[in-house]
Amino acid sequence: MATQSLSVTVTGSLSLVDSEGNSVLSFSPSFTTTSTTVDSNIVHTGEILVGTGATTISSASNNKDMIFTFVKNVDTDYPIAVQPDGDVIANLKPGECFFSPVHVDGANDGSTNLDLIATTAAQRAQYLLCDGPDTGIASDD
Amino acid sequence: MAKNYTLNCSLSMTANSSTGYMQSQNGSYALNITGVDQIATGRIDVAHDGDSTVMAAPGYGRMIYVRNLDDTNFVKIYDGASSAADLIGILEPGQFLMTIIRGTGTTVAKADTASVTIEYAAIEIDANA
Repeated sequence: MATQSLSVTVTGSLSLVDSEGNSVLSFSPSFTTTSTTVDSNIVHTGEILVGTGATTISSASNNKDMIFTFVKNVDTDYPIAVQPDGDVIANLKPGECFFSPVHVDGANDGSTNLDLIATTAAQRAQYLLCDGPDTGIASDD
Repeated sequence: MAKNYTLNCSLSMTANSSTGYMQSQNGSYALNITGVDQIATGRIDVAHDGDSTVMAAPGYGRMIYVRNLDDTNFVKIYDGASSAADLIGILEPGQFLMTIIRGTGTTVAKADTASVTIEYAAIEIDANA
């Protein structure tokens, strides 16, 4: 029986400068996961028109225990909310992006989907989802 | 005292399969932040038997960066007091998250079986940012 073997590399940077030109903080984090096979099923990406109702970007094949999630608002008008389980974990104005290892199958969660919702009118978003390992973590403990 | 800031952020994610299949996404943005009171940053030990505050409730919203510096255990990051309904992400050792939440919840962290050190930056943003 074949198994899927996936890994991710994520890099980021943030820097904050005050109005007098002083550097307040700066970070440049990165990590690479080892290849995982247990319950690691799918990597998928795309661009989607997000409606004002929940627009699901996860698939039935995703390991809801851990989905490495990147989302970017590529439109020009209104924010997009990122909502696993119906909980807002990001509000992205046009041009903004987000990354988190997301867990969507807690016992008390409202759904097992990863959804996007545009606040005012339909907006375009790009995303990349990659399964992580089945950690056995319950999100309600 | 300066209360106006410019925040520059970038992110890149690449997913690989052992078959050679690969996909990448990246992005960057800048926020001009005006008149805010809270910039929280540092490294703290996060307890496993209670919530550790990363940032107190902001007036409008905040950008959040958290990295798990532990070698063994995961840590959970929440928008508000720890509950399944408020989980932003679960960070295994070495992993980080970067997000923007335009909401007034307290940002907290909670470890699992032993305390975990995290590196963090939480930057309050105003409604126009």
